[in-house]
Amino acid sequence: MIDISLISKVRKWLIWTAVSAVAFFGVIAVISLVISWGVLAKPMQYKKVVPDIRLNPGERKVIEFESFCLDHSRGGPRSADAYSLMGTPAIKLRPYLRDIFDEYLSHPSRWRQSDVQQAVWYTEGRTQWETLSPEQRMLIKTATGKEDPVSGHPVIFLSRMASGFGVVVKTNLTLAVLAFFLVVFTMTSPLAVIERGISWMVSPRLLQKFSESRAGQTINTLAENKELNRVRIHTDVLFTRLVFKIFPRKH
Amino acid sequence: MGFFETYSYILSYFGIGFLGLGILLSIALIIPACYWLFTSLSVNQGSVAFRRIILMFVVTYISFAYLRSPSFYEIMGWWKTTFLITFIIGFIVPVLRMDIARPDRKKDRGIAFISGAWWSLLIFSEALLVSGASYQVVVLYLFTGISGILCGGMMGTTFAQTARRKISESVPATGAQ
Repeated sequence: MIDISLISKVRKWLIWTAVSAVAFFGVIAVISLVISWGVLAKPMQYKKVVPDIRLNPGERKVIEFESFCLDHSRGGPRSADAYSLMGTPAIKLRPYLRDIFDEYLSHPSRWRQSDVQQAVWYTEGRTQWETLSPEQRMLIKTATGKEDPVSGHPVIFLSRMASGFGVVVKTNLTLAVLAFFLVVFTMTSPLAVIERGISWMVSPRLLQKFSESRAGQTINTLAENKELNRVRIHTDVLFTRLVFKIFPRKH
Repeated sequence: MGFFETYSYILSYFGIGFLGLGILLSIALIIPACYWLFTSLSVNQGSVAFRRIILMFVVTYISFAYLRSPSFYEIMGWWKTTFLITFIIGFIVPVLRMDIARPDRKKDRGIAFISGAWWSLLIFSEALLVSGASYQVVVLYLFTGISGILCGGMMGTTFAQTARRKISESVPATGAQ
C-alpha cells in the first residue's frame, strides 16, 4: 500500500524543484537581457545572395549542395547512409558557426571549401589558432570580427568537455545508479552490501550514521517489502517451471 | 552579444561546474558500483533467477548505450551479431557443463571473473575515449563479446543450477522404483 504522507512529500518536492528551476533560469535570463539590451544582432548577409527553396505540390527539383562536416571526431559517412535536408541545432548552439557560414555563403568565390571546413572544425575548439593557415585565419577574422575568438569561450569549452567526458560520465553514473537499485531490490541484506561497497571512501562513523538514518532504514524497508518479495519468488518459480518443463521428472 | 548568446554564455559556466562534479562523482562511484555488481552477480543465494534476469538487462542496457554513443560510429555493423553469438555461447557452455557443476556453491567465481573482465574493458575503453583515441574497434568488439558471454553465462549458469537441482531431486525417485 502507498503511504498518503509520501504523496504530499513528493508533491512538495516537485513544486520546490520546479520553483527553484524557474527562479534559476529566470534570474539568468534577466541578467542576459540586461547585458544584451540595446545590442543589435548581426544581420545575416547570405539571405540576399542565396535564394529560398520553394516547392509547389507535386513539383520536383534537383539542387546541388556543398556540405561540411560539423564534428571532426566522428567517422566518415558510408555509402548506404541516408541524408535528410534539415536544420541543425549546432547553428544556434555553437558560437561563430553561423558567422562562418554566412561569410562563405555571401562570398562563395572568395573562400576555398577546405578553408571553410577547417574554420568549421575550429569552432569545435579542438584546433589551435596557430596551426591554421593565414587564409583560414583571415576567414575566421572576417566572419567573426575577432582574432582567435574560440580561445577561452565557456560554451566551446563546455561542449569540448561534454564530447570528451559526456559518454563516460553518463555510463558510469547510470551503472552506479542501476547497480545500487539492483542491490536494494534483489539482495537479502542490501544495506550491508552497500556499506561494504562505499567503506573505502567513507569513515566508519559516517557509515554508521548512514545505516541509522532514514535513507538507510528506507533501503531495508524496501528490501523487505512483501510485494517485492512476491515478485522475486514468482519470477524464480516461473523460471524453475520453465527449466522443469525442459527436464521433466522421471518416474 | 545578443540575448541567446549571453544566456548560453552564462549557463555554460554552470554547465562546466555540473559536468566537473559529474566527472568527480562518476570516478568515485564506479568502484562501489563495480563491487555491488560483482557481489550481486556471484551470490548464489536468495532469488537468484530474479536477480540475474534483472542483471542481464542492466548489463545489456549499459553495454548497448555505451556502444551506440556517437563516438563509436565506426564500429556499427556487426556488434549486435557478435553480442548474439557470444550470448548463445555463454548460455550453452554452462548448460553443457551441468553434470559436473556444483549447485551447492555459495558464490560463482566464473561469473565474477567474467564480470571483472567486462568492467575492466569498459574502464579501459573509457580511458581510451577520454585520451582522444576514438578508433578502438578491437577493444569495443572484445567488450561486446564479453558482454554477450556475461549475459548468456548468467542465464546459462542459473538454468544449469536449477536443472541440476531438479536432476538431483529426481535421482532418489528413480532409485526407489
